[in-house]
Amino acid sequence: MFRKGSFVLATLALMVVAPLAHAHDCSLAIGGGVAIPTGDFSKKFDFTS
Amino acid sequence: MGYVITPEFTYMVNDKLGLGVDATYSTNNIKKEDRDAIRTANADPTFDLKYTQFGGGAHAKLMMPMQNGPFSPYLVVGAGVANFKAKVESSDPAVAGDKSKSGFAGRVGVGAGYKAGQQMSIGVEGDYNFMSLKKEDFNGVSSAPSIGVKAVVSFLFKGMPK
Repeated sequence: MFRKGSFVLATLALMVVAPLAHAHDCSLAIGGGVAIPTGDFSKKFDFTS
Repeated sequence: MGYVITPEFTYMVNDKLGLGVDATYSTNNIKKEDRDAIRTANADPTFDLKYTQFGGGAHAKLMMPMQNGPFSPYLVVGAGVANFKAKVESSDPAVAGDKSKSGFAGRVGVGAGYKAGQQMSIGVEGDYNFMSLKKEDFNGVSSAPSIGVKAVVSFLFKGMPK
């Protein structure tokens, strides 16, 4: 499994590389993950109408 | 709990502010306990409710002071238009069906990226997403909010030197 030491080492390694985006740079990104509903959509919806 | 996918393009106006466009696709089911309660109440073991949201918009990213290092936290605010679709599955044709409507959608979030190579960064982002619905369209429901927790991979393109 993922160990705390590995996390610290990875974090330190990432801290010593070059800076991220500057003015006039562009980025193309893709994000993916979980979506957690926070509304009461399922409780209010009238399933018989 | 469902999943969300968000491709996006961002242009850095200066070192702190980025503006861009994005798209979002998310899908979800109602909570299992709610679904089971409805199945029991209506004696309908096939019942399920799924909803999807697909849209696009513009966003602004405000890079926080640690910008001079590889660790780059940011705030993001976005707004646009999305289509929201609710689909009821059931063996009862009187209950089964779907409905979709479009409306205003937006998000507010925080994230952080790390430069993982010359032209690539990896990061995480958490955001609160909301979509405005008309009560008359979805039986009194006026919004469909959710929290997204995402891993983000970015490909960086250096701007032209002045």
